[in-house]
Amino acid sequence: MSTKRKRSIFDIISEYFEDLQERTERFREVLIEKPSWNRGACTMEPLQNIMVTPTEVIITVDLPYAEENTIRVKPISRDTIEILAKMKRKVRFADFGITHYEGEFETLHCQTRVPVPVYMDKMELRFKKGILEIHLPRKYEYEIPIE
Amino acid sequence: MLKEGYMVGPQAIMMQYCAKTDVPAITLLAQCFFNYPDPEAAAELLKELTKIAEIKVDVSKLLEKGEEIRLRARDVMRRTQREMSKMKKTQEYDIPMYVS
Repeated sequence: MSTKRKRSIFDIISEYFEDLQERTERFREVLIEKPSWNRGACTMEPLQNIMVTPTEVIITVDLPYAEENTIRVKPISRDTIEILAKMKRKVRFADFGITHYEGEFETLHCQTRVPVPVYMDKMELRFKKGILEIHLPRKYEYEIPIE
Repeated sequence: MLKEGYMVGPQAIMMQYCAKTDVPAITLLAQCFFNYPDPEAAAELLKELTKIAEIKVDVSKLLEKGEEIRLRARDVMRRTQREMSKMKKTQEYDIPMYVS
């Protein structure tokens, strides 16, 4: 006689969230995903990463070919920053061996949403070995007392 | 030199297999941003390998083409990051249960 293991409530919840995550991912891929370049604006989107620590948010952006003195980081809303950098040389699709498209790029551009409240005016920037590091101190708007 | 710690992933399996079969082995690791392509870190490793194995490896082209490689690898890296999150790759960074 075969015995079927009864699934716990935690297994069911975990499966539910995995399924939800997969559906969200599929939805994002279909509707939101766009190429990492913009032919009209002549921009390429760099790789970026966000790390949230208890005291600050650290955003790193990989900026190959970026000219350090052209890097601009601008807050465009309470939770979004825009990063722009001119490249040392123009890059063409043909440089990547792509022949069915035409276009050239001279700027790296991206927008990043900061997931928690931060002090935008206390932003600190570091640029080393082509990686831009943006440090934003966290803002705690209220604290819940422990009883 | 890593005096104490643990390894995970394919390097760990290869090291374990080498230890079992008495094959001398060494793992070279370089510090880098794990989510960005880093040709400079790769060049540093190759430089160390040339010292250990007494072989000549010219890394000048790798360093020269570093920025181009980083730009070319963006899309692949973006997809890799997405797939890694599906693979539960972050489990590799979990704190191990053993107590010494």
